[in-house]
Amino acid sequence: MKNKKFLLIVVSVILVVGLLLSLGACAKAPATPTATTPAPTTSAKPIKIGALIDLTGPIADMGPRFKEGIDLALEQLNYTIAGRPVEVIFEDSGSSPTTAVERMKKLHESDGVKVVIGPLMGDQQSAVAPYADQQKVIYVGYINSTTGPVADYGTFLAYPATCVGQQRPSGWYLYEDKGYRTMATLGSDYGGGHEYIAGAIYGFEERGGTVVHKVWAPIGSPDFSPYMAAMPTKAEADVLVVFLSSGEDAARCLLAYANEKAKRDLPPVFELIVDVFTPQQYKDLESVVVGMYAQSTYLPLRDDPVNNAFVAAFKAKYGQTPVIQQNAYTNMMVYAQALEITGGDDSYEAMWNALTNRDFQTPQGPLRYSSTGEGLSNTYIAQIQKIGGEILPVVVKTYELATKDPYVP
Amino acid sequence: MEKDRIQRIGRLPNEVERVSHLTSRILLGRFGPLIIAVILLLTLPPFVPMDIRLMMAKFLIFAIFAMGFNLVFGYLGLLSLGHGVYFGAGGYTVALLQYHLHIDSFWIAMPLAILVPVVLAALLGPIVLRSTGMYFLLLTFAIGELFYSISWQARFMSVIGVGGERGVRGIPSVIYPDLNIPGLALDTTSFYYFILVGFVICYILLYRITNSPFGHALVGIREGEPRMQALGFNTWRYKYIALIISAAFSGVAGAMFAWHNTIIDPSHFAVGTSFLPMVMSIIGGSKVLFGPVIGAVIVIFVEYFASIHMRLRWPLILGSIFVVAVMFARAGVGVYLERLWKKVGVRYGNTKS
Amino acid sequence: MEFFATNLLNGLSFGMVLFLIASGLSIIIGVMGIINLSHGALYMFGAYVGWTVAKQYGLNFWFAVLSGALAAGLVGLFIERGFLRRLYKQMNEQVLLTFGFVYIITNICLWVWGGVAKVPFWDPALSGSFDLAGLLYPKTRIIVICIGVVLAVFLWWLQDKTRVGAIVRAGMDDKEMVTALGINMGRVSMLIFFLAAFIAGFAGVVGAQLWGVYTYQGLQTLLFALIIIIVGGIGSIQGALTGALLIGVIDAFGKALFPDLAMFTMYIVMIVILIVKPSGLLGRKVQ
Repeated sequence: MKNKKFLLIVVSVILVVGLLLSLGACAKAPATPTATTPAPTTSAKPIKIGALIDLTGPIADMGPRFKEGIDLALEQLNYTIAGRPVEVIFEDSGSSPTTAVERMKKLHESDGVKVVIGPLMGDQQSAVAPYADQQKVIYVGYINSTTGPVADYGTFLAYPATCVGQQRPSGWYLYEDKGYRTMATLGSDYGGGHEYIAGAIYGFEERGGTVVHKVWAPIGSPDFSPYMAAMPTKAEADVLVVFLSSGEDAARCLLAYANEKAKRDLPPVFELIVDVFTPQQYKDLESVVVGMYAQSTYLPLRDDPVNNAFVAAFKAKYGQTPVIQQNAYTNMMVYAQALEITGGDDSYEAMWNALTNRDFQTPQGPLRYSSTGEGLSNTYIAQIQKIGGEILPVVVKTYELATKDPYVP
Repeated sequence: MEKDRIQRIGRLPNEVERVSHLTSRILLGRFGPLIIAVILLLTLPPFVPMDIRLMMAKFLIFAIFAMGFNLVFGYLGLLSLGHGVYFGAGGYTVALLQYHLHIDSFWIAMPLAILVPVVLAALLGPIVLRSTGMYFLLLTFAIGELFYSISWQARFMSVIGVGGERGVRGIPSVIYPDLNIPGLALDTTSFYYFILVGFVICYILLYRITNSPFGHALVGIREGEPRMQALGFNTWRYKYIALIISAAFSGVAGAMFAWHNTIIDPSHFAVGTSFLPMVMSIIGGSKVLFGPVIGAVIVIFVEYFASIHMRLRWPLILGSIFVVAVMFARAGVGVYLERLWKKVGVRYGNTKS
Repeated sequence: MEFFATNLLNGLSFGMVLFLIASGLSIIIGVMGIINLSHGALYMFGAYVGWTVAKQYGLNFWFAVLSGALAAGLVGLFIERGFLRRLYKQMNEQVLLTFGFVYIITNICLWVWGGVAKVPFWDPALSGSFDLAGLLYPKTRIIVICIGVVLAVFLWWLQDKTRVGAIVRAGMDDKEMVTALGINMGRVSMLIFFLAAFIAGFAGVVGAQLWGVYTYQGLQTLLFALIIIIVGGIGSIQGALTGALLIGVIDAFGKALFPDLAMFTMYIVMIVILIVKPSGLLGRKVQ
């Protein structure tokens, strides 16, 4: 009994002392871990960039991939921009809007960051929007950029386009190139899911198509078979447009689809943002996925000098083909180029001026942000093919800079 | 005589001694810790970076939540995993008033943020209080998850997004309340002090409640409900009122949280939020009023610092702390600190042991 | 007719995985009176171990099932022997302790296996579908139903027909009495807990055929298990089975017919039961 009490006192003291020490340490200088090795020679004040990635929580698998992209960019930049050392401070946004807001505040108030990469989720983006707008902190989406923060606030960069804008050409493709006239949809039930599907529907309907069946599945649904059981056949819908927020949901969905297809003549699947799949997941889903048409934000096989150089560098460093890592890489590179233009000035006015209405060449393709921060980029339609042991999306059609969001002025 | 004279040489002049004696009596008395805490909370902010200040505000909010929760948990002895319902109700009231009705006046929002959870508790009480122990746990958990799924589905509880479809779940752009005091608009710094005032008020109210006959009756029910019934207490009514009071404080905390966090979403109804005051109460000590406050400090700050310094491994640290706390600090850190404090009082303050 | 049959089978197979998860927890809560919130994390850990054995080392799937079950059983044993044993009848502490272990186990899984989810995997011999009188239905899901039935029978036999089952049931009501009869309750507790954890890990790999493995499963399966137990009743295998199949089938039909209410269906059933019969459909009242 006495031992336990003693131990408890020791533990309490340690906790209190540790707390005080941390407070003291934080008051002096932010002791946050960064992505960099000690920066080279210059003694100039470092440029600080923040990065919000999800390292814990339901979408924890995305965070590390984005970090890989940013790390590669920093390496190529030699950790220097405009003659000054650059520091990227990574914070875990914990798959939660609350955490994203807290970390955004910490990055800005404590670390003095004015430019942030991320966050990923739509509701995280909406959550940080008022604060970022008020404090004039620029932030950019990784792959999924919701319309709200672009239309209603002024510091968000929708990369590579807004969800709606990105998928509008998908709708066109399904109507014009595939000749479909009726569509069924299955989407993840959250803001981003709604917007991706809304974009495809918008493009499809504005060309004359109709939507006959619309279903929303909760994120993390363990079982997609009920949805597939209720899915119309080819007689009623020409295509099933699917968007699911994570590779695991999409995998389960496609497996359920395959099971149901064996019984009934379901329409072909067109997957939006097929980038959610990792190469490993493609391999595991080989029987289901090869031959499928999809919209892919980034295509590693796209033959283009900027892209080829990036893919080679990524393969050399990480030993695998990049997919969404590209997005983080490009975000970092675009910020770097803007900072070169402003001469290291990361204030909102200088940066926004440097970032918007300017053409950037990225591995994904040409990129241009409008004055509202809306991204204009290419939308790629691809087919999943098996090439030399790897299963990857191959470009079938490119819509150049056609991602204008009809809901953004 | 000689001994006295020698002893007097080493002592301070009478007046100074009297003042220091008085000060130590106050500080080491019953309210000592509270006074010291309040002084710390008042004076620290300018010396700490903004993110720590934000955590201090968050800690105060959760301290209120946990103390309110502890009225039912520590004093009444019922473990509820569904207090997120009242917390979320308070938060959503504030947020929905702003989003749909454009009302951001504190004097309208806060009373409603108390009223809505109270009404919920009044309605849920008869359902929930039929059971105790494990069934109470499961029942309150179930209701919390039900509210989570309702708030996920209900159109009016989300913003409208693109093309009229539901956008982001929850309300993402809550702003500080308007105090209707000309010239005084809340910003991040003043909001902290605003919360601090609220915390002190809540603490004092809960102190009065727990030290009243009502509070003692609750403890009596915890120790043996049949006995209390035999003594003529309408135990069900006591439990019901305790639940309602607890809900009121949770609603206050929820409202403050909505303002602090700028976003309220369905997860604040669910078990992920409900289990926090439980953890804080157990770690800090559920049998004393300030126990949950200590627990809130520990949980909030450990989670924050751990997640910054150990970006990937902090849940491991947090979980381990729960385990250690349960195994070694059974009565809660707060109780041990209280005993420690009393010992210090005996040694240095001439207070009776 | 096909729609009905497909959804029924979907519901039953989904329900069977839920039963596999919930049975272990029902045993622990109902029979041993321990609130073990780490049950879902044990499921997940077993699933990850099974994945490693089956996919990384390419061994036989059923060996992987055994490995996952054993791994989860050992972890469960560790938690019981090292910690829960000292918290006899202290519900609050059990809740906090086991919740702490959820964090710990989830983070360890994240550490070892990374955040990328594992796609569903199964015995290659079971690929494809059975032809059930004209209805093509995936073999893996049929196997899941069969496994569930076998386990249910085994556990029922254990609970109602064996001496061990009787001892445990008696011990729940009066530990002192049972000990006075010369039976080592500690040993029995240990065995039962190991069994429950073993079943959790077993469920993890079996369920991985349908769901895959991911780090969110620790909490998600716990939620499922709690709902099943609330609906079916604590303390009996029959209750867990009834609750699981009921929820599974209602969920399947609910999602197919009213997809907008997807999140609701489970909770509605749960709340109705709680209001009408708080101890669950087939539950024994446990204080």
